[in-house]
Amino acid sequence: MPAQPSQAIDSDLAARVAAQAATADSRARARLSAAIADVFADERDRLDERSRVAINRLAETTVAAIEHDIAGHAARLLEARGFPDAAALLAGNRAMTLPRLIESGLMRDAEVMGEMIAQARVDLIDEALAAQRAPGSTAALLAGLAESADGVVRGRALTYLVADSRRRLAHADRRAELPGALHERLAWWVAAALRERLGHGVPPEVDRALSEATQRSIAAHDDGERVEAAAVQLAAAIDPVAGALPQLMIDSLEEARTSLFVALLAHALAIEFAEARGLALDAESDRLWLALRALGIERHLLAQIGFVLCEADRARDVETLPESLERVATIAPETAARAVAPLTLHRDFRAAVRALARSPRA
Amino acid sequence: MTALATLHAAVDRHDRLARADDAFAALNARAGGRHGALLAIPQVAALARLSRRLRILVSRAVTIADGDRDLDCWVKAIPDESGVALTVSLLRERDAGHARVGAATLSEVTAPEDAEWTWEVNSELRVTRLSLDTAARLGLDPAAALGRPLSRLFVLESDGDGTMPLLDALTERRDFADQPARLHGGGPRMTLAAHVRLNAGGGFGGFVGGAYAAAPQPAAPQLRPLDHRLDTLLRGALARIIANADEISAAGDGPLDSHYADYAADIAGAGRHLLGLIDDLVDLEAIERDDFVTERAPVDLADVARRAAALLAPRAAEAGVTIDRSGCAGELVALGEFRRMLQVAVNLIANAVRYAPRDSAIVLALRREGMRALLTVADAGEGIAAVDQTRIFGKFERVDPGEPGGSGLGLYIARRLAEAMGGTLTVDSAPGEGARFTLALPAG
Repeated sequence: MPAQPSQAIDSDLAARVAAQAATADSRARARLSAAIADVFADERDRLDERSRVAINRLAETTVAAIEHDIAGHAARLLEARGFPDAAALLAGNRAMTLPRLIESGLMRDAEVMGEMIAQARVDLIDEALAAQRAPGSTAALLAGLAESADGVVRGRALTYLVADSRRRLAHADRRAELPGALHERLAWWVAAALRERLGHGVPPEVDRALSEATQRSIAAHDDGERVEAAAVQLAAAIDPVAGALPQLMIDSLEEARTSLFVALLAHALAIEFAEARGLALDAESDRLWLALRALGIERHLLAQIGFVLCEADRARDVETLPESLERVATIAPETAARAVAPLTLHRDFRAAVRALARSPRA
Repeated sequence: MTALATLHAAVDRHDRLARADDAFAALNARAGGRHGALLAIPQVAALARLSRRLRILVSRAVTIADGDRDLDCWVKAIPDESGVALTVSLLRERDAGHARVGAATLSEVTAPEDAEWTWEVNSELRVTRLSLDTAARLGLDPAAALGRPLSRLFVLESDGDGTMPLLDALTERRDFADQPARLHGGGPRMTLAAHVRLNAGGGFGGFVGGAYAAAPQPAAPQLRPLDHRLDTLLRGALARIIANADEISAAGDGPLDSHYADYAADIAGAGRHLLGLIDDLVDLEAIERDDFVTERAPVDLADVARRAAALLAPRAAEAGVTIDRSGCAGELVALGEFRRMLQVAVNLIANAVRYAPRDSAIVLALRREGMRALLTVADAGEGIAAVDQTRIFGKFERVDPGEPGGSGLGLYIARRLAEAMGGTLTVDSAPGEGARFTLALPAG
């Protein structure tokens, strides 16, 4: 007697259909609210497709690399400690955690994503700078620095070249160079997501292995190896006199070394690299021009820096540059300096001022 | 690179053409402009205006449409007392509509595939990037190479014909392969290959290259067995063939001799077979890559089995075979990727349908054994002799080599997929006793 369609299958089917309908409904609602947000998003706040792809790719490779390190080491520990199944599960897989970190909302962390977005944008600007170089022009700044008679400059130029070379790996291998604290945060998230993937009732040994592997990944992270650290060191070694600074900045941009441009800016203004990068990437306001003006840079040099940067950064509009420069050039350097002065405050103080400004007084 | 020509002109403070050499005047006239009027070439006019407003020299790559030709130019605008002086250097001209050579600059240029390590040089052949781990392994000091001429990294040698592929490629701004070289200061022989990078004007902007151990057969950049453009191309063509053949076979346009309808049905059938083969080849290419991974999510294997059975129900009905799904009622969670599990299950059931005798049943069974979730597909076919049980999982092998249809890749792919999910695919059979294929996956 052939089996009759069992009631179990029917009720199972009904439950699944109902669950699917509920999921579809909530997806439709989510899609609608995303569409509404998209319709009313300010055009100036919107990422272009190229940036979106670059940021996604960087987030993907960065999380995958951390996951690879942690899962791989945890698997080796578990294998040695007699948990071959959990080890195999961890070792055999890659790229498991990012979707979960996105879905959970953890990846929406402003500091982590802010760093990724900034680094991806710097990458795009570097690529555009390299592509728009005039035919026949030569890029000799770093080559010159690497052969400098000054041993300190020479050494730091080489360190920077090596760091920049690592930073610019082909996209598939490129990862964001996060500051230590953010790397640590992301590493623990990845460990938690891996733990979740192992299912309920994770034995304490698995937790221990994941924890050890994560601590190992955190310990291996060296802030000093990041290209920005190398750029900051190089800028400090060059320590250019005011007169030489603008040309150095222009040369760095023409050589597609945005990180060095930012480091020179940070050094001259005595602010942190991240703040200077924020200025360089802020396409909306005149802050960068004000900062350069605060350094006493003449209008025609400001215009040269502005033109190269606007041509390379799709977020900037070169057509509005002349008006911005007219506005800024009339301001005395001392006045302009006041506009960027808050950036020189202590990091925590700055953060507190910003946090307070976000919630208006009652 | 020799510039084709350099054109000169100047505009006054109101962006009107004040003077121009013959070539520029002619170009501007062909665009509808004249002396004393606003510049008729919009991109050049925009740059002139920008230069006047910024009061500095500005330059950029511009493509000027000139009748049925497109001119790739580098335009310089220099402001002076009376207006703006313009220099237009013609880099190359090409038929309108042909992709601009320099367009490649903004897309990503990657190193040739399968290189042991990679390097990059800029337009002056100075090393800008080096894969650092390899550098360390070869005992190379990256600091000694980065920023230095390529010749400090490699000693290039001429190939068998006495030519230098790198130099030829440099002159012609194209990719190269098979450039023999050694590391500077000794070291093993190797072969270099690279993709060219172009600058905004379409000129040489550098190489993105790889190094390969010198072997009797130098490893040139390899084409993947089925790259996706080819895939799309074939699929598109086949889809049209199948659709047209189906249409003819259905005699939609009017009565048709039954022979022709049958031919058309054969053509559609052959087309579907080829499409299936492409699917298999695409899968094969994917699973044979080192970086192939599958997801590992909890999936209800019973649900997978039921769906696969439902998909094959029509084919089973046609073959007069029943698929007994009574063993798939409950839930059995396995870890893996839903799509891949379904692919394996469909493959196993389709095979069973193919070999099961008419009026027999294919039995699906599920069970959990320790940490593994098992799906068994049993048929009452002729069975497989022990000697053949390994062979059928090989590439391009069939259960019955005399039987037409199928690419011979199905079981091979199914086993590789099972393994990628941390599982196994095994067969248990004897001649005359049917075959039982078992997919075992980590239980969730």
